Amino acid sequence: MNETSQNASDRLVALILQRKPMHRKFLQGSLAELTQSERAAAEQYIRYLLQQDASYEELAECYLTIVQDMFREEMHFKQTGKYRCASYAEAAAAVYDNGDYMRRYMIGLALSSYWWINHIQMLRFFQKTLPATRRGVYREVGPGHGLYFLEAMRSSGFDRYEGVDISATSVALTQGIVASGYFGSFDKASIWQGDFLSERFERPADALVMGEVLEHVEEPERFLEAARSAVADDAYVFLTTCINSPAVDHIYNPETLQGLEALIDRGGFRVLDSCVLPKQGCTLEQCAQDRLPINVAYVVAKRS
Amino acid sequence: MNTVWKENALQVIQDIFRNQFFDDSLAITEHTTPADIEEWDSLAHVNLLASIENAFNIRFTADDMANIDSIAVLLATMVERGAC
Ligand SMILES: C[S@@+](CC[C@H](N)C(=O)[O-])C[C@H]1O[C@@H](n2cnc3c(N)ncnc32)[C@H](O)[C@@H]1O
Repeated sequence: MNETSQNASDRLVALILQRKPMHRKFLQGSLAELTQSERAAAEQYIRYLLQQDASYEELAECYLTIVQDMFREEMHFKQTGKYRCASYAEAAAAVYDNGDYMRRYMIGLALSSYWWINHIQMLRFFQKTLPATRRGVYREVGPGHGLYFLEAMRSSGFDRYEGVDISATSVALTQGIVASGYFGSFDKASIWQGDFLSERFERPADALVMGEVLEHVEEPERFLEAARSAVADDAYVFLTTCINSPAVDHIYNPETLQGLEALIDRGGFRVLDSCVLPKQGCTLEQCAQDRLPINVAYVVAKRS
Repeated sequence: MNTVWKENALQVIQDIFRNQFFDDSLAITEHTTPADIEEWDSLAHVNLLASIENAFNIRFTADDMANIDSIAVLLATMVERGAC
C-alpha cells in the first residue's frame, strides 16, 4: 500500500492521539501488528465513513467515546465487582434507545475491531474458520456496525445472508454498508430489526454468527438454545464474547472460562475450536485472579 | 490547593508511578501529562488510579476515571474527593 492510500487512517489516529495521548502506546503498539491487508481494510472503512459525510472530528469522537466509557466502566467494575447494567431495560435506556450515542458507540467499536490486536485476532479466527464454499443461509445475530457481516459476504459463497439486530441504529449501519456499493455489490443480503429471541426463521441456518452479543443479554442460556434451534445440525456456529470486560451495555459476565464453556454446553453446543485472548500483557491466570478482561471466540457445533 | 499538601501529594504520586513502572528516575510535577510518560497509557491508568485511591483513602467516581488525563487534573480531582 502506498503512503497516500493510508492518509485517512494516519490522520484519524493522529487526531485521536493529539486529543488523548494516553492511548498512544496501546494504539500504536496494536497498529504495528496489523498486516498490510488489515491496514487496507481499516483504511477502506474509514474512507467509507468519510464519504458518508462523517468528519475526522466525529470519527475521533466515536473512538474516544468507547475508550473513555471503558475507563468509566472498568472503575465501576473494580469498585463493585459488577457490570453497571443488570437488565436489558437498563442497557436499552443507556444505549440502544439513544440513537446518537449508539451510532458513536458502534462506529467506535468498528474502529476498535480493525485496530485493536485482540479484536483483530478474533476477526482473523473468523476468517480462518468461516467455510468459504458452503451454500445455504448465513445468519448473523447482532451485526451491529456490520463488519463481520461484510467480511462474510466478501469471503464466502452462501446463497443468502441474513442479519437480525434489535437496534434500529445497528440495522441502519449494516444496511448502509451493504447498500452503499462501496465494498462491492451484494444482492443476497437482508437485514432487519428484531429481537433474536422472538424471531421465527423460515429455514435453519447453515452458518450462525454472534459477535459480541452474549454479554448483552439477560438470559444467555436461553439465547444459546434459540441459536441451537435456528441452525442446521451441521451448521458452522461462531461466537465471540468476553469475561470481566465491563462496558456501558454489558449485562452478563461468565466470570470464568470454565463458566462460559459450561454455559455453551448447557446451551446445547460443544466447542470445536477456540481463540482465547487475555488482556494484553497479562497471562490467563493473572486475568482470572485479578478479574481482568479476557476476549474469546469460539467455533461450536450443535450437540446431538 | 494547599502548597504543602500538594508537594506531599506529588511525592506520593511520584512513588506510585515509580513503583508501577519500575523506574526510579521518573519525575512527576503538576505539569506532567501522559505525553511525557510513555508508560502512562490506557492499560496502566486504572491501576495507577486504584493505587492513588488506596494511598489517599479516597474513591474516584467512574467519570473521574475518564476525565483525569494529567497530573494537574488528578490533583484537582483528589481535592474534590476529600484527599486534602
Ligand atoms: C456489541 S454489538 C456487536 C457488533 C458486532 N457483531 C461485533 O462483533 O462487534 C452487539 C449488537 O447486538 C445487538 N443485540 C443485542 N441484543 C440483541 C437481541 N436480543 N437480538 C438481536 N440483536 C441484539 C445490539 O443491538 C448490537 O448491535
